[in-house]
Amino acid sequence: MKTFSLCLALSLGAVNAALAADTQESDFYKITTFATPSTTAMEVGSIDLMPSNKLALGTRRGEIWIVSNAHLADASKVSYQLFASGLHEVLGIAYNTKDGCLYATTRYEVTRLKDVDSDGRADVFENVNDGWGISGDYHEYALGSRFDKAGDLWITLCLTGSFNSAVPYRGWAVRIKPDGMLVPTCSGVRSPGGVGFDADGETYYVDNQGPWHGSCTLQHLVPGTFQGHPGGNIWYDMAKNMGPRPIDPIPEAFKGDLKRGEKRVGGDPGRMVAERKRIKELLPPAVYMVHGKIGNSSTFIVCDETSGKFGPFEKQLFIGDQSHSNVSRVFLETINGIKQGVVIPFRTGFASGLIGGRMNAEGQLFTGGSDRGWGARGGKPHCFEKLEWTGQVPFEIHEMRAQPDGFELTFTQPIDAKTASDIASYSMRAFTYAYREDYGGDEIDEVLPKITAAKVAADGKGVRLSISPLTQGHIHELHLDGVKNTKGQPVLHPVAYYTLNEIPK
Amino acid sequence: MVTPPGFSTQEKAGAAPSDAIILFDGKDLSKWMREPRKDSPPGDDKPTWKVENGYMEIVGKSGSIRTREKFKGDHQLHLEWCTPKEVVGNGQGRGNSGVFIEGFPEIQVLDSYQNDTYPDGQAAGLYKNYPPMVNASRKPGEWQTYDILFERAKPGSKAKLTVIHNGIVVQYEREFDSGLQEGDLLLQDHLNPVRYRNIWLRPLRVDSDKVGTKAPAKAAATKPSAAKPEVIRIKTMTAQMKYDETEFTVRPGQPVKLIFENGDDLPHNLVLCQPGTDTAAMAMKQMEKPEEALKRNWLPDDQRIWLHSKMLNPHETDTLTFTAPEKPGDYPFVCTFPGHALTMNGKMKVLPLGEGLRDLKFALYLGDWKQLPDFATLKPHREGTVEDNLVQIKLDDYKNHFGVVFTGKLTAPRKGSYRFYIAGDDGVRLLINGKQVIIHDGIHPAGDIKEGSTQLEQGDHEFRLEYFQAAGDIAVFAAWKGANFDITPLSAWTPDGWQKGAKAKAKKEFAPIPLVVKDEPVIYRNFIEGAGNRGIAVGYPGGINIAWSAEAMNLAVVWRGAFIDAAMHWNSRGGGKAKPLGYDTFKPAGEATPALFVTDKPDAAWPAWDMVKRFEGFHWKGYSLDQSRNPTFRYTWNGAEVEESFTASGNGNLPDGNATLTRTVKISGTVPANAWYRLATGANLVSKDGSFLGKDGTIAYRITAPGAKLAGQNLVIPAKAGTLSITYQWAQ
Repeated sequence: MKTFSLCLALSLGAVNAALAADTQESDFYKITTFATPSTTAMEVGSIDLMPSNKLALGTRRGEIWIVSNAHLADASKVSYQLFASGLHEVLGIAYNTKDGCLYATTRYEVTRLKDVDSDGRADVFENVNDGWGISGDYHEYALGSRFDKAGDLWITLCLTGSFNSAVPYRGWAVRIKPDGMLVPTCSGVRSPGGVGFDADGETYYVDNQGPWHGSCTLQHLVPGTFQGHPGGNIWYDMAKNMGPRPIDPIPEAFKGDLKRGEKRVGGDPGRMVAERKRIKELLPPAVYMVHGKIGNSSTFIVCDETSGKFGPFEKQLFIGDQSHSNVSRVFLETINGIKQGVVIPFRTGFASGLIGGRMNAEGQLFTGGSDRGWGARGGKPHCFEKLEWTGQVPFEIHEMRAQPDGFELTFTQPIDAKTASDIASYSMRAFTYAYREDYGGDEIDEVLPKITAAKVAADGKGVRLSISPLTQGHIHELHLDGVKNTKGQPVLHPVAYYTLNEIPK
Repeated sequence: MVTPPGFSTQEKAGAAPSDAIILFDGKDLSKWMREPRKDSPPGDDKPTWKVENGYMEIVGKSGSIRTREKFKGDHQLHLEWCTPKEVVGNGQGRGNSGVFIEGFPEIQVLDSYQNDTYPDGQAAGLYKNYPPMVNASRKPGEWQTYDILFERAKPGSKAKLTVIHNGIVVQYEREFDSGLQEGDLLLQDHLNPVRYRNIWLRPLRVDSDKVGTKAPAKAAATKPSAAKPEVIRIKTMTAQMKYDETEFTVRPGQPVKLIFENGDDLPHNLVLCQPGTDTAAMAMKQMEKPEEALKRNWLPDDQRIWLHSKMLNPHETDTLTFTAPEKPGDYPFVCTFPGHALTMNGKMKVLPLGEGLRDLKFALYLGDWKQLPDFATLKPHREGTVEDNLVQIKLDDYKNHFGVVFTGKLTAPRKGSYRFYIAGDDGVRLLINGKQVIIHDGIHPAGDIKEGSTQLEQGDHEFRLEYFQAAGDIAVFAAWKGANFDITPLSAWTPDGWQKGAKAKAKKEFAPIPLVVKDEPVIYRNFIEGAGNRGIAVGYPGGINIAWSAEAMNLAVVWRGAFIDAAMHWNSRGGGKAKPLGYDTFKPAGEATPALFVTDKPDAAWPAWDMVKRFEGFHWKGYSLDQSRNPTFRYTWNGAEVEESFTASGNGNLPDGNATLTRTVKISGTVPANAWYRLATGANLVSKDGSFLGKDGTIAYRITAPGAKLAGQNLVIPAKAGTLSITYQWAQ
């Protein structure tokens, strides 16, 4: 019988199940899986909130479903109404509070849907803007946001494949203004996975590991910037508001005659930290969503603006992953004018590959997705789920901030001064990725910094680590295996990956 | 005992022997049917050759004549013929006719008396095959005799033909590759008035000389077991006008059970024909006499049909049990219900297996390898012969860390290209005559089949298969395929799907996800073939479908039957352009191009698609759905606003000609001068009875629109503010 219960625990909590007595993710954040209509494959690609606690789900099959009662504790009360069908992949859905309409971002168009006769089904499908091209390549996805504070929609347009842009604005982020105008906003996009906002209303998107970025990345969409992949830069002539085309990365960073995956003799010379000095429009990723560790395919970006209803991580970002069927947590700060921050594992165990996500004011994170075309750990072909805080505070890193000589960490619970002040409780390695055209990339330029001091804060909830050296442009991977809270429990997720674009002065 | 034939003289034909089947006794042509030439006038199947004075005479253009019966087995055919006494023409134009025994080349009938032509084209020549050994021709106007001995192929023996011309053997046991066991006879209408008389047929061997025939050769034993028929299932798809399987392969002489299920809401049959039959033409021909065809339940009266199912009502099933023909070839099958044959067809391939290996030996080597070693440098641990001449591993002592080299002989039946297949767990390499043909080295499971081809001369070749086992599962597979035999395993073990070779895995097919149109239109926006990347397909109730292009702002594709299969887009990553799931597809605008264009030459070429600039001046506005959820498409063009809607009437699934798509185009605002609205384009557009007929491939359609006119290849209407009404129909 004892053996049996141990097996059960192992199967429930993959990350922290080594000891059955330890806490696990599900103690703090609960996943509810909804039944979905058998008449369709509910491959959730986008979610937005609607009045009366309703949700709009846009799916990869091109349907829009209005969901009622998903906020109720009893998941069996959920109901679905098919609002529209036959659209070309709804990877962006946005409810407009001003006109009461849903706006769907599809492969080639932002469509405004109206239900004029109020029968619960859309009967007017207006083209709001279709000003970007589509060449017929399956890769040319369009991922749209909900409305930002200015009433704009942000749309990230996947390249034609991984390297090229066959038609205008493939490889760009554009905004659709309230009057329907398209404004080219950022270049350098490759294969976006989602667009979202932080608590200040700043816009971010996630890009997939591939050419130029050796890992998935969280990128800050500052209008006018170049996000790293030069494949779409041929359209600068059409985007006069963006100014002149940025200079290209160094020639050695391009594949040239090399085959995909073929190593360059002597290694790849391109580095983001150097190139961003040379290419003034180039904005480095705010956070590398470290490939294989945090996930393999980042998707939605959700900010906790619930003032504590989702737990202790107010204003932090929660980012889904299609491949790993998980959600990670990001804390961002601005150093020397640049966004950067830390990503920490948060919750695994979703049923399928997560794509769309949206949190309501009650701290309910609705998400869903599919494993179609790209496998997912969840195991189910598609899902629609809800993640909620149980009210129990996990022992976690709360925030991690860069300091001129190290990092400052705060925790969600008082820490045990003895273990937290022991430098042996910590370890760190730092690495980066080559900034180059070939697909993917290894963790390179490894540095093993020394942790020279760990000073516990006066309130007993933080620690100041002195690190030597800090390496600009490197991801600093911190392990806190020895740190305990005052109850003697370890950190639930004792690893953090901080992208150090800038070292504070 | 048999009463021998009477002598024939120039004046009178002799009597036929007592055991003969008399095909023509000088009185009537009841044993024969008419086989029309392409230029023959219409008529029934009764021959219209002249019968008088004990002979028949060819009436040029009336058609050849074919026996109504087929004859099984080996026969002696006797016939007498006479070319016109008055010599007209020369070469092949002089007294030309021919005797066709199904499965053999034409035996030429020609006035070859002092008439030069090519050698195998003269009288008693086996046309395009063998000239006669001597020219035994009599003068024109004199009766000549043919005694033709034809023998069907036997196991170990080919089909044979002997021709005796005027008592002289001119062809002796000529061999042919036909496996046909029965067939009919035909006398050719080559436009010349050649006469025939005294035609009879008798079996070549009768019971008393059975002892003289050869015992069936050993090959018979390798035939598929008669007890276990190959089961083939073919189903018709709902409103798609096609069979779900359009090709299947059986072995010569193999028992086959064909289960034919009609999954559609229309009647369908399955009619198997002789190789080379133009099934569409055959099915179409019966429409010349629809009343008669209806009486026959739409089964053509055609000798080339050798097997058919019943005309199945919707959702009925019929089972055909038969023995596959001995003659290898592609036997077409078709649905002969009116209008179905163009899309509902397929073929049964009759293809034998090839020969196996001979003298197969193995050499076992011991070693722990990650790649195939150079076995030539190693010493075998053990050697021996392999059971059944099939590559296999039966090594009780060794489970891991060994290698085997198989060597044997393979006989190529003819010179040509041969394809080889291997698979192994682990590495495997095939060499023919010492030359590597395929390699799949390293440690791997056996799932992947690798293919390679090589040219072989006729005769024996050295087969060498190298294999090594690291650890884990043990498996090795080899097979080959030739131009005239199917993929044939050379190993005891075969992986799943080996019959399809390496392609089996490469081709990923998804279960269909048909979008079913019920009582309201269904809209599907995606990559649609013919409608570009901004395609909007609409399936209207009643089996009429369109795809509108939001790139071209125009109707792009029209089809009937089933709507769309979303499987291509709703599986994996969703690439590719979906084709209409139904049939009778036509694209009135050709490549998706706009309807509106300003030109003073309406016969000019319309603008072509530019992926970057798109169609300039056009702006897509979207669509709205009316009460019955019918979409109205909207766009602007320069200063004009355009609305288009469609209504479907009639039943698209019925061939009654009533299915109609009506398009209403409302143009408002400022329309530029010299603006034209193009309804259709195509080289074969013609005006007829107030409408316009067009053809998209084989699909004929009719457009009716008041005010429309043909300008070159364009069917146009001057574009003005107002309403256009256009109807589209399938032309019969």
